[in-house]
Amino acid sequence: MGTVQGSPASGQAGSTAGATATSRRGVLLTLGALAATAVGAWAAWGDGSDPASAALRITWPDPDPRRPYQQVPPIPIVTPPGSVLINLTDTPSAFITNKNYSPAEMTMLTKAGVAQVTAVGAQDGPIVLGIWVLTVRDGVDPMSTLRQANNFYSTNGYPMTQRATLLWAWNFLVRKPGGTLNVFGAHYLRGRQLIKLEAYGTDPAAAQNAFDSLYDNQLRAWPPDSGPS
Amino acid sequence: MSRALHPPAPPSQSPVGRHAAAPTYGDGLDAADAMEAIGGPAVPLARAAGTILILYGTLLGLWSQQHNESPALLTAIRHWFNRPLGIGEDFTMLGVLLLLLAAGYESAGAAPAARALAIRLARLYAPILAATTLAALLTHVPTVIWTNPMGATAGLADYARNLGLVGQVTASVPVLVPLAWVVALEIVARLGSVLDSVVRGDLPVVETIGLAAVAGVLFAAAHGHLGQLAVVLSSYPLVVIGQAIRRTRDGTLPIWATALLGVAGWALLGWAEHVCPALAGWWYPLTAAYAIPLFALAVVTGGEVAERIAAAPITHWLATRAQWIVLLAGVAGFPMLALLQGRTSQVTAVLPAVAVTCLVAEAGHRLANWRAAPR
Repeated sequence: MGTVQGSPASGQAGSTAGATATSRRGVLLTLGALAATAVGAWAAWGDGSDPASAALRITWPDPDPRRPYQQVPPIPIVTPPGSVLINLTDTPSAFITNKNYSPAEMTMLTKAGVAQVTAVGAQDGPIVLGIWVLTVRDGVDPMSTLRQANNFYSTNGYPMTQRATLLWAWNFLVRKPGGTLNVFGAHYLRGRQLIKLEAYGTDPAAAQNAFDSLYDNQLRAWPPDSGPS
Repeated sequence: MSRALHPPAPPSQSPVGRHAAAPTYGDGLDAADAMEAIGGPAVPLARAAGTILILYGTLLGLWSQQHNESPALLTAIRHWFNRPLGIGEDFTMLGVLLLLLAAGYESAGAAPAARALAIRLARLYAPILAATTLAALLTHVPTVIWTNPMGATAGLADYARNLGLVGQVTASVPVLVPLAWVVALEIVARLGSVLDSVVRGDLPVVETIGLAAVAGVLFAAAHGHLGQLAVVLSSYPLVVIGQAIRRTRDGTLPIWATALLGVAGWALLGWAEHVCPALAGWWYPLTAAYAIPLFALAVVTGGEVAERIAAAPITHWLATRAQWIVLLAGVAGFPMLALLQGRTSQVTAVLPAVAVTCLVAEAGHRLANWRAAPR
């Protein structure tokens, strides 16, 4: 075992030329078939880069490339109190299809670069609370997304108060047959994510209280950026 | 032993019994003799491969991360191999685990006399002594060496503690040679072989004691004690698995016992991930799941081609200098990289860094074996 001997196949070196030619033809045929399959697949399905989804691509920073996997940052959401109504991460269009978001606003946000939405909503007694994290796709400046969102909210008559460089709060009333809803909300920019939180209910004081505590918790855990980067 | 991992030895090969005091690898034998002594090409192959992986993982991988460089080659290998396979640290840990398996395999083979064992232990400790001394000196020179934390300066007390491997098992001392624990575990395995020769028998006593000790330390770590020791010992199951594979191959341990030890050892590695925060998120059990079958496969199927590769001078050289090269990469290789930083691309700089590491390793190896006429 310790010594290295000649190849055991060396005894069969005198195989006939005809057999060699046959096996060579077989190898070529196999290689040809494999190549044809690969070219056919490429022609049928492309190279797998999926250009349609490239428009929605979000690249997360890789904090430690020596890890065996890419660490994706946690979703910056505190869980609202009450029973959870929705907890969903999907493309913006899915939120329109599922009627979970105002179509006009979501269309605006998509045009402004939002490619992924995470929503957590909960019902706490008479109050409904929700947080949306709107992630901006690669190649779009999140500041421009924020500007377009602000434009949209001002044209739609949100009375906005700026509370920090990248943080706005607002409240308004929605009149419905069942009563008037007091809507309290805020939105801010954190990294490449526009974060929007909201609380509403028919009782203005209760809605405001619920909003204030959600606002405090959310901003303590995931504060806004201090200014444009 | 009809169910041994390895087919019965052909007549030309004298089977090496576990308790025959055979010479082991690196005792100044040439490649073919050494391979016969340790029974096949698995150990030299694992050692050589492990050494190359660790050189790559530290000189290219670790250095790049510490200096915010991302050579295209490294990025591509991470993208195509490390991430899809789930092997972190640019294969450093895979290399370490292969070295540990080889160390266990070797340590189960021989029960040397006291004097021979003492020499062997001294030769294993020599690279720790040399690398630590060199590192302690270099911390006072404006260069870069791999210490933990980086940029540590070693006083005399730190140096002494590092020589005693205290820094490896407590969090309070700066570690001058971060991979010294790999060789330390090999020393532990060798000491285990003493016990092995006392409790002769067909029961996996030493292996079980090894795993029980690891389990005990992990249990302590789960309750807030010995955390750093647990991090180091969590890889010891690989040594035990190497021992068990050897004994099964030699016919002194049934294969089901090896399988049990393997599963238990692997479970300990998985438990350690939960117990030690430092190990979380590195997927070492997965890395072990590559290393163990790879090594077992090399033992079982080590045939003619494997032997030819193992007998090649470069493989033999790497395998016999493995401990030196691995410990010196951060001490001799890093200063070379620091010297060349900014003057050439990092991938190019790695070549002289490897050369310096290997030269110092060769010098150390010759010094440690000067009476054994190393080949």
